Amino acid sequence: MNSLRGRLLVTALLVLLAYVAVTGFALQRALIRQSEQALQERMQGLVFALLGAAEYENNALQVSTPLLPDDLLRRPDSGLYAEISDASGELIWRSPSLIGSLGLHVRPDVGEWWFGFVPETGHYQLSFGLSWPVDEEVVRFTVTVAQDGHADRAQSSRFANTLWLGLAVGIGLLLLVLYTVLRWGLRPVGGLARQLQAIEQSGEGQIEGQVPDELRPLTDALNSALRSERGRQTRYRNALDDLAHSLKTPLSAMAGEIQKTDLPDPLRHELEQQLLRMRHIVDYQLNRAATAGRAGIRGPIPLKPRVDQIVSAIAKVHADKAPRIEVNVAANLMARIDPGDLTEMLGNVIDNAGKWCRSRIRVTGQATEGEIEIRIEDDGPGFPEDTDQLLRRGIRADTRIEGQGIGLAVVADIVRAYEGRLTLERGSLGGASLIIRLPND
Amino acid sequence: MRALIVEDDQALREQLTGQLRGVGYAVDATGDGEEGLYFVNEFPLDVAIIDLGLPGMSGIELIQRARESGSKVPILILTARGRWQNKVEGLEAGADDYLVKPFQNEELLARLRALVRRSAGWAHPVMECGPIRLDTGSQTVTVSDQPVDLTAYEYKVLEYLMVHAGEVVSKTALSEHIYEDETERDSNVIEVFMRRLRRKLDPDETLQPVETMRGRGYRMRLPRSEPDA
Repeated sequence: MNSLRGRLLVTALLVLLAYVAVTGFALQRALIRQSEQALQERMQGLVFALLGAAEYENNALQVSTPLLPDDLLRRPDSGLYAEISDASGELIWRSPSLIGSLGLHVRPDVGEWWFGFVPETGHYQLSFGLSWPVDEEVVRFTVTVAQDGHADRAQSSRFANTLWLGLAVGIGLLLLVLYTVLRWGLRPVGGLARQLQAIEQSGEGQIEGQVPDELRPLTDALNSALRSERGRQTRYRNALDDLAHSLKTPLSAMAGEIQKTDLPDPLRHELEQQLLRMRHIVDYQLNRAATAGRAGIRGPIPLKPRVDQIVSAIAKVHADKAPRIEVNVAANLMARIDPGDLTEMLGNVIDNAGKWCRSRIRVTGQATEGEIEIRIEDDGPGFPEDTDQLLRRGIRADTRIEGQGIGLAVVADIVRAYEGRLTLERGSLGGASLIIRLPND
Repeated sequence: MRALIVEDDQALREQLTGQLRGVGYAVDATGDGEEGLYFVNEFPLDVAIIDLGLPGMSGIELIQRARESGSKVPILILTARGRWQNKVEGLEAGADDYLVKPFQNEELLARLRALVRRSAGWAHPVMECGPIRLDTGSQTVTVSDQPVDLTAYEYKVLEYLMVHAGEVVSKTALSEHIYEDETERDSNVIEVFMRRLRRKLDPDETLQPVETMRGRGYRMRLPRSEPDA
């Protein structure tokens, strides 16, 4: 149960069902009791009326037909019956409406009442224990009145049906109201989620618009987190740029001085090598430090605009060679990567291709299963056999060809930061083929 | 060739200025972006070297403003920032090439030569007009494969004429591209250089490589031909 709305609705449904069950049951009970009470009272009145009309004759208590208190008692099988039995339970009188016997279920003590529903006959039955003074002794009788219960039962069950139906409709309406209220109440949360998604996609903006008071602290906190995250990366890179600038400008001046001054060639060469090494170390470490990696909230960015941008920049740099650069990247191909890291990676790789190619470069981007694959091929001499070493040597490379020493190592570092894979092989253009695979999740 | 250097680090700026003058450039140098923009707009530059990490107006902004105001001068950016993001920004703003600090001077000079040449429409480092062949890499000149010995100023005049082969180059433009200071400029000196240059290139007066357009200047008359790459 992973949705707030679902949880609330299910809980509300269970609570409502329990409440309605208890209420309905109690109501039904109370109603039956009340109708039985009324019946009992009516039957008690009938018993008293019968006793008022009864006479003791021939050792038996009898009620003469014309004196019967209710007309129904005179009509056979009318549904209202009366009988009197003696101390041994023997029937001594019955109303003309009664055919056969009611059958005595309980014989209450003298002065006691028994009331109940008898399922076998379908009658409500009321019995009264009675002592009748005859001369010097007292004779014990039981007076029983019975009423057919079918009509009452049917009425009760009709009422119960109406009651339960009403309650069920009530549950439905309440849930509907609750659902509507939830939808309305939770709408700002949905809006918030959509805004956050848009921010993630574009990498800019913040949460705006009317937000309910309860969500205000949350959106404020999110906005400030977004601001500080963006600011942090920018400030960090700016600081690194400043560091690079202040380290390398003096290095440039030194390099120039070395050429001007009258040094013996071996010493000059040695100094130049050391300067180059320093430059490579600074470049490499600063680039490493500036790699954003997978941390931070970043949405996927389209690859093609970046590739096009870098290709046009690199075409300028290699204008003398004017290589033909073919770009096969779909406009809708996206990758989850920091734009700066992507530019760094593609810049190094395509620039290398520009340096080594004879006349052609091809950049291909495609989404494969769970991965984004970027393939950069050229028609140059290709990689030497030991490609692992090429990736590993990094800053220790004492190469004079600019960029080749650290470029690949930087690319390998960035690819690693995104838990991707970097493969070097011989490509279809006859030269180097460098394949960057980034996880696409 | 007239070059502009915009670099805020004084030591590096002075050293670059010295280097470029040493190989025959006329150099304007400043450490300030605003002033750099003024130079770009007001002086007939052949190439500009702009540091991206300038205080005040950034190098990127300087390049953008220069391009907005219509300047077509080839621009080489110097950047301490090794990151491609910075290089791409600079190239997108309108620069033509970049060089990451620290750099080798040969590298810088080679890039500058290539930029100047390309901006004049020459795709290769060796320029040929008829039998005259000028190698901007080794700074040597041959006529019909015979080496010709030129002084630095003569070479500069010939290089400028060949870069702009087919176009009329005024004496003023020629002297502006060869000398930094107005006080040095003298159209008579240009005439002297031109006379010597003609004698060295065309001792028999059969080639007539440079035409004098009266009142307007000079023109490399021989058609440019790219050597086969």
